[in-house]
Amino acid sequence: MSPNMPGDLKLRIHLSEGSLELCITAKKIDKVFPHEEVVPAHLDRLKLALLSSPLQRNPIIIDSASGLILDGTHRWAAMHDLGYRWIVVCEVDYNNPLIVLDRWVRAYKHIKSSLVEEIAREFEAEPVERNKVENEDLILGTSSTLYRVNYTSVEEAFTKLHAIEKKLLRLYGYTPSYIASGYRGKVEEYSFFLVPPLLSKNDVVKLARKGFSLPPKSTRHLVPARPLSVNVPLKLLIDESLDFEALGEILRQRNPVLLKPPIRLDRDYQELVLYFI
Amino acid sequence: MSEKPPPVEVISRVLREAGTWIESYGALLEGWDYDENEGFILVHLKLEEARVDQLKAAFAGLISKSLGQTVEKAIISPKGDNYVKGHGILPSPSVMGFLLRAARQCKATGDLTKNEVFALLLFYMLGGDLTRVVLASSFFNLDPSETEAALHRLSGHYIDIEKGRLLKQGEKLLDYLITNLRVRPVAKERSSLSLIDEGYRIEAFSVDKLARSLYLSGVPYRYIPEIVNQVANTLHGKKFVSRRALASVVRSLIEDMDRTDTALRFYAYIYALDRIYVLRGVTEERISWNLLRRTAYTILSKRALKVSSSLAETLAELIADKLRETIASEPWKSESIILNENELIRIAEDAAPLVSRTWAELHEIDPHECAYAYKLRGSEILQAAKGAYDFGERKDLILKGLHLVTSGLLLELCVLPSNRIEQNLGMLRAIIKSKTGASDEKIRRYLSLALKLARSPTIMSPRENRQVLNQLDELLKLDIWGK
Repeated sequence: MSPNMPGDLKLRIHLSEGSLELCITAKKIDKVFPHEEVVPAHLDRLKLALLSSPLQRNPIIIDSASGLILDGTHRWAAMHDLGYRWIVVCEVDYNNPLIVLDRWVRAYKHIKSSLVEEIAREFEAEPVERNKVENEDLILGTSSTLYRVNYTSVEEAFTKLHAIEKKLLRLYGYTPSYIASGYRGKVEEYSFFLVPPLLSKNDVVKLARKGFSLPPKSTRHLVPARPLSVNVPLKLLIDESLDFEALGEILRQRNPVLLKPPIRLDRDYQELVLYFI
Repeated sequence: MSEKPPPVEVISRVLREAGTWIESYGALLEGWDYDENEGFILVHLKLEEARVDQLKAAFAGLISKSLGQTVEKAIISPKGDNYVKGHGILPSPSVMGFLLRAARQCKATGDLTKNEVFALLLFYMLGGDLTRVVLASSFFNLDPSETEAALHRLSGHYIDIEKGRLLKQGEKLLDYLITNLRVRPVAKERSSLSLIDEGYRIEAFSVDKLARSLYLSGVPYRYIPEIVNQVANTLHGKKFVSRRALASVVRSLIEDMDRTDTALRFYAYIYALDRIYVLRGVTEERISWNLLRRTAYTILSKRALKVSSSLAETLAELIADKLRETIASEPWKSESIILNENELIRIAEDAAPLVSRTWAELHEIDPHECAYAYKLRGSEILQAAKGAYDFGERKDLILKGLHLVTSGLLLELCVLPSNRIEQNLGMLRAIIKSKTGASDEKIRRYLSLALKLARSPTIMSPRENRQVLNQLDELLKLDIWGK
């Protein structure tokens, strides 16, 4: 954690598996950095919402040591584009084992096996047996056959993943559903899966530091608790200098309420929510 | 929301009103959040689990009615319900305020460091809930990890972390600490100076009254302590002072400090009532306290209930305040003002709900129905108070419950109640004083306990807490209804 500032609000949460410390504060917007690209349409929607709201409602979640954005890339990009100098963040220790890094599997419906074979050929993928598949593999698959796409670097793997997604969208109009591990729906509804390599936390930080942006929804960060609705006035975040004492008082003005998961607010939350009311 | 989301100001008003309504059922509107973009309202209610279904439906209905549009109940729990159980972290404003002061004032005591002493206080005030204590500590600018470590050091000697309760040594320290952290009220000095008004009435000079007049007439607060000190110095050693001389001294002091029209306004405020005449038929009558009291009686007697002199006096003062406020805002435009009698009645009627909310409610409800409803709701709220462990919430519920019960008792005796608990208790004690029946003994005991509870400190040491809970328990067991 960074040293204590008057604007910091540190929250220590006890979970059955251990403790997690969150620190709500503000950071210079150019001192935090994303690791994924943005979806332009989503970014435009967020910018419009920010233009009509006087508040930054939810903090983005970042790694306290590196400044890497774990959750909130679009909010960061929207505020960056609108000229804000500061952004309200919730710092966590990325190395805490309670923070889990997972991936999103792309699942497509109605894709014929001939197209799968064509993609496999184009991207020089080789068939692989199910029990030989490793976490770091980039896999194309149907219910009967799996293909491993060869790559020499993580950057190349995600570039290829992105190229396959683009091809399916632009040439054939296919859009995927994003499935997380532990998905409880009907897997058999889908005819084709695209499984990205499972990255390590270290990989994510290194790639982002190099300036390489992963495609949208490459990583899935599971943070077991998050603050919502801290409601910091945006006007406080526009100037070059920020009054941290004022920020501290604003954060302490509201009363957090612990809401246990699962809970459905603006979306489904599988983590503990600290809702500032 | 089913239509265009209303602005936050409208939601704020509607929820404030709904909050007042739900409070009369012993529940609390702890807070709310509104996303204007999404039209999403999240309301934090604190209520007994058994009443969740009844009150949440009624609450949503009330909001829909006030907004004039349907409030769609968003499903926020996986059970398909529109509520989820929450765990509030911070205490009520009274407790929060006490802790914020204590965080600055706490000192190392005996073998405990300052942090350990404050952690003990936090543990006690937050009901021994470790999660709350650790989360809340940051709101007092403490490091949560240090607070947690302090609690573990206290464990076994001062507290039992597992069971969330205090041990003997902890109770002893808190008994001492809490009573010492309280601010002592300034003792009221007996004034030997008497004030003689223009009608040659004599009353004791009151610093409080002088400060109140200065404040209400619009003299900036920062001048008031100095003016009061200067007046006390000027009049030191005198036994009597005329109102005219006192007003002149104060006026000249204000003129030294503020060269605009503040002094003129103060003077106009003091003599405002002298400049008002009431037109009754063809004759004019100068406003006097006698006339104001008579008007107050007339207004308050409209519901055919007995009106106590203290209640009439309170209303007379409220009418006087309203009149003074009106006149003092235009100090030089006219020498005297003539009010139509109907105008005076209208002002008195406006002020009456301030002196007794019941007076306003009686326009819609029969006094007996009102008495029954007040007593029932009051008892429920006192029961809820017994279960509340936050001191601020408990005190609020005690005061609310006692107000309703005492109002109900007065209505049964055909006496108009007041908005003030102590005034209600005073009226009841005066009525019951001369009676000697067994049931009257019970009411006498009830009133004695009610007064103790109403005057009990909000933030209690463990010893005081036990006393108050015993008193509340005894009060709830006293069957005084229908006697």
